[in-house]
Amino acid sequence: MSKVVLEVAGLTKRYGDRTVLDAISFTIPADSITALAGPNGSGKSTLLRCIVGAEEPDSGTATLLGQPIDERSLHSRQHLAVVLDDLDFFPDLSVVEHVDLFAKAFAVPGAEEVVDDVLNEVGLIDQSGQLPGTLSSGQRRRLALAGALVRPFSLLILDEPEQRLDADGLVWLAGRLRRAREDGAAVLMATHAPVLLDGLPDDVVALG
Amino acid sequence: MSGTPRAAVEEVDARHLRRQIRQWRRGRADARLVDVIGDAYVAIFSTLIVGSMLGSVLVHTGALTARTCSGGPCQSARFWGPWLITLAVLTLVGVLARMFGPVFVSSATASWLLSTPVRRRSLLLGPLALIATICASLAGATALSSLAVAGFGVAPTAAATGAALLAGLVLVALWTVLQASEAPRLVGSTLVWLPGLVLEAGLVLTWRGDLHPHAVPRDVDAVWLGVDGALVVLAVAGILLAVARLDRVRNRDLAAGGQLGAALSGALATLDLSLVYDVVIGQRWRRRGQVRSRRGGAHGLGALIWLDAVRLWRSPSRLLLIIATIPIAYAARALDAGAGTAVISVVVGFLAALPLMVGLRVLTRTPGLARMLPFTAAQARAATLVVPCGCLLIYGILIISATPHPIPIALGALAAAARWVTGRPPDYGRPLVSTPAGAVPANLYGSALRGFDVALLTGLPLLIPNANGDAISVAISAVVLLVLVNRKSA
Repeated sequence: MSKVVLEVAGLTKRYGDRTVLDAISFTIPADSITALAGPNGSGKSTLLRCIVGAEEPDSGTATLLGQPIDERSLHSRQHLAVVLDDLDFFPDLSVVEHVDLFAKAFAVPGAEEVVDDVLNEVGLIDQSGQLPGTLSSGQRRRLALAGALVRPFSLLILDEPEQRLDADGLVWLAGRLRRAREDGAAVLMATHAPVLLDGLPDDVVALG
Repeated sequence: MSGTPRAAVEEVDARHLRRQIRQWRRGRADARLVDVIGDAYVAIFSTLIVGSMLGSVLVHTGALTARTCSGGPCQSARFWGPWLITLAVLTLVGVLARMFGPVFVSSATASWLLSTPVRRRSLLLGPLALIATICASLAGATALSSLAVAGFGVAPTAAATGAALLAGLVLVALWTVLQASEAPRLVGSTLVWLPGLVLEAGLVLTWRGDLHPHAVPRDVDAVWLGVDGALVVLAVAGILLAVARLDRVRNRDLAAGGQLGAALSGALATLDLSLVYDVVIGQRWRRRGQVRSRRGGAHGLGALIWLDAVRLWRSPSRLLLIIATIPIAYAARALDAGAGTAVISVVVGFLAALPLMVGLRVLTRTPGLARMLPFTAAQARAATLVVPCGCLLIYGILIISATPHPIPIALGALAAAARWVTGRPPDYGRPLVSTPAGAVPANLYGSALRGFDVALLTGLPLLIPNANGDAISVAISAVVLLVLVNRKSA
């Protein structure tokens, strides 16, 4: 059996009197894709934000490879690749410089070739000299995905990656997630997209 | 289905459009006439009261200056200071005007009116007049107040205020002509800095002691009349030329200023100056659109430092700005500022360092981006301080003959700039403080002073006349920097 990459135990989050997450527990093994499904407002994004440490849960824990997730800890940052909705970029650095930064920060061997490959994959190679302010929202989403995919990770967390991606982009993303699974990584994504839900996830955590 | 083809599209009369807009607005007014009259009364009354108070302060300060300022350096500061201040304001107004256009319209006007076959000039005359009035008034008011404080007589103050006002008009006309022309952006940017170059020359002359009080004509004589006369001719010709060119201003250049104005007004409404910084930097790079990417550099934390170096290479004006401020310390020394030169240098270094802090600012305001890097927040923030610190150390070394505290000045300026860019926005979610202006967050007013507090805190120990002052200043800067880089994101 594959080792457990992520373990969520009794995660609870309340906003005032409203309980958004009620003692959520699940595990995600390596080599797997898990989808979070549920209607809007069911707490998918909140759960992901609690897992990555962007929000403080009222109770419960999330551990990554046996260690509590803390966005300030090096362990979490080295093993966890995250694309949530709070993405923004350096206004004065080009597309390729952003992806270069992530590759070099993680000391990826042969960084420049890897970066070119990833930019090719996400369809931004022709925009490599452009500044983020001039990109469309879909292209910005692809840039964020490129930043996450260019680096090594044990767990990839995506919040509604289908947002602002066109049909071709979704097909590409499904293929790319399969490849990440084959490479031994675990993927957790909140999604509504049928193309990412049909046949791709090994497990589905239903909320709401 | 498309409409019937028309033989020709007739030009639309702008007056007709305005009349139509007035008609649409009729009946939707949200203020009664009596309210408008009441507001106007309060505005005029307040202006008169505040104006007379300010006038009284200026006249009394001027008299005090005339009585007490007798030494050579003080006389030089008194007679040349107003010109340097006016030039600084003209430079600032120029940079702001250029950023906005200078002529700009709201997004609604750009979308709905400029796309019609209306004569563009008639729609843009109003905005041009408004901007010209604001720029000329700012230059004139600055000259008037600084000349009055310096104790100039009524006639030379009036003549010089007129000259500043006319210079403001000439510059607006020049920028409008540039906005309408196809001249490369670099030409426009260089011309905008023209008053800044004159200011720089003035500072260097002050530093060298070449500016003497008697070099300024103190009475209205042929020189003043000549200057004002020449400026009147230039202003009239410039404005006429600018008006003639209004038809050629492109829609995209007009709309960009409107969008910037809307974004800035939102940021200013909450007094979030860091957000203003984000808006301005974002707009600047969006306009540029594309850059020549630079690849290579170090791995790990070195990647962040490398990118700061790339930024400096890409936009050397940030370094030029720091170099351009060097004469200020020497001019302050020449004007007998003494130990105060160090405090002035920390404040100047802080302001000049702000454009270098983009990396720290973005990492602080964007947890999502910081989360993608394999470093702790403190490590990443510390890495973004390396290049600015290097630039400020160069600044400290280059002004060493004016004030011998390179390391405390560099660190003090760095700590103040870091405090400024990492400041948290006003938090309307927390308990609010009741004020006559309504409920405001507790940290709202403090945000305007942010950075200056640290600059003074680290600069004032340098007034202590022994090495302890340096040590205290460095210790304060180190503590401030440690707190700021280790601070949890908001």
